[in-house]
Amino acid sequence: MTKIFYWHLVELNPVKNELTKRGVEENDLREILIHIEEIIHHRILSLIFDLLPSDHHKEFSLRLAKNPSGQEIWDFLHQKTQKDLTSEVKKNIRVIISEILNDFELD
Amino acid sequence: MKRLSASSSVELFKNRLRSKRQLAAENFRDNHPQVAVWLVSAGISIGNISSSLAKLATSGVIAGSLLAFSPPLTSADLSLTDSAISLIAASDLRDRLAKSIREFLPDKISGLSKSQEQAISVKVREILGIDANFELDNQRLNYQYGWMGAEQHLMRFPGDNVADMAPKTGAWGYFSKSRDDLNDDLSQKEKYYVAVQTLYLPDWNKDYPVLKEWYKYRKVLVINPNSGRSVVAVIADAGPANWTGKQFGGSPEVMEHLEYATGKRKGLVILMFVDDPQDKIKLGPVGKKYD
Repeated sequence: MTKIFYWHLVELNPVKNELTKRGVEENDLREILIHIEEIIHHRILSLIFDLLPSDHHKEFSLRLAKNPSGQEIWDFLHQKTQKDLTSEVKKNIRVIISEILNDFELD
Repeated sequence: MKRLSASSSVELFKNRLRSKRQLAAENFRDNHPQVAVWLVSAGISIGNISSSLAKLATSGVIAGSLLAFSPPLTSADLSLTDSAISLIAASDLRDRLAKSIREFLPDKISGLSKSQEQAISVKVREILGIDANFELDNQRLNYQYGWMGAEQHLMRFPGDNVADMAPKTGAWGYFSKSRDDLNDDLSQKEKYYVAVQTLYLPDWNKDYPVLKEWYKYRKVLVINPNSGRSVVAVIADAGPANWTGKQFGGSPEVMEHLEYATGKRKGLVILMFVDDPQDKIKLGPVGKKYD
């Protein structure tokens, strides 16, 4: 399965374990993970486009379409943002997953 | 922590996640509308990013079409291929376009909101494969949606004489210095031209030298929102005057394809700038060759 370039930073095992512990069935688990994956994609890509100067948005979009898992995208992003984007992405993924885990608590 | 063993609890949680997912996608579109258009153009569907990436990896379509993607890519790189569009009948394209954009249009002739404009741009890109926007290079017309009236042919060169021709040149003068200088490109420009109200643009008089060049033969997409018929044309004349109650003018060929050439010889249109810096999109009816 194609994974996006930042996917190695995503740790979904705590969520999977929590759901399994609660007896969520395989089918439901699969659907839940798809939703979570999409939430992460939209939030992280949004973050990246927020931090990337707009002049480079088009090129980044097309690099993404060309080779979504390409690690050279990081080089491009680091160069154009002049930021430690990896840390930003990692931090935000942690926040998103923690929000989702908190949603369990609401039940 | 309670167990989620009861199916209602699982459903509740899934519903919450669905809403969160939808909200994340909406926020993305709202915050980065132009990016959303580009991503959709490149085959990445907002709302289903994972499956889009999987499809891209399988088909290799985007990778193939974007191999030569330095210098920075243009709309032409993003356009659907002719073969892709040809798989869809022209009438289906028109129906899909009309149905998709009608809901975003206001009841009265007025400017469109940013969200209406973005939504229409996305639909046009998805359905026609044309990167068209209501604003380009910080330029926008006073109207994006309005009445288009029938215009006459414009004089292409000194001494030109065809049926239904205006007695004067268009706002940008002759298309060529002489009959001999008239090439296919200029002939097409006269054939598929529109008039827009550049004269009423707020900065027209102040920035005339720059704006005049920017608008000259600027490529536009004109859509009949009721039928979905659409034409790619260029701006080659100024007008009509406000008192006419019309906001745009169309050449005989443009009006004919939009099905506004008879009766009152006017009709409602959406007019957008086509982002085509490499001049790859041909002038004329969109999808006509597949009729």
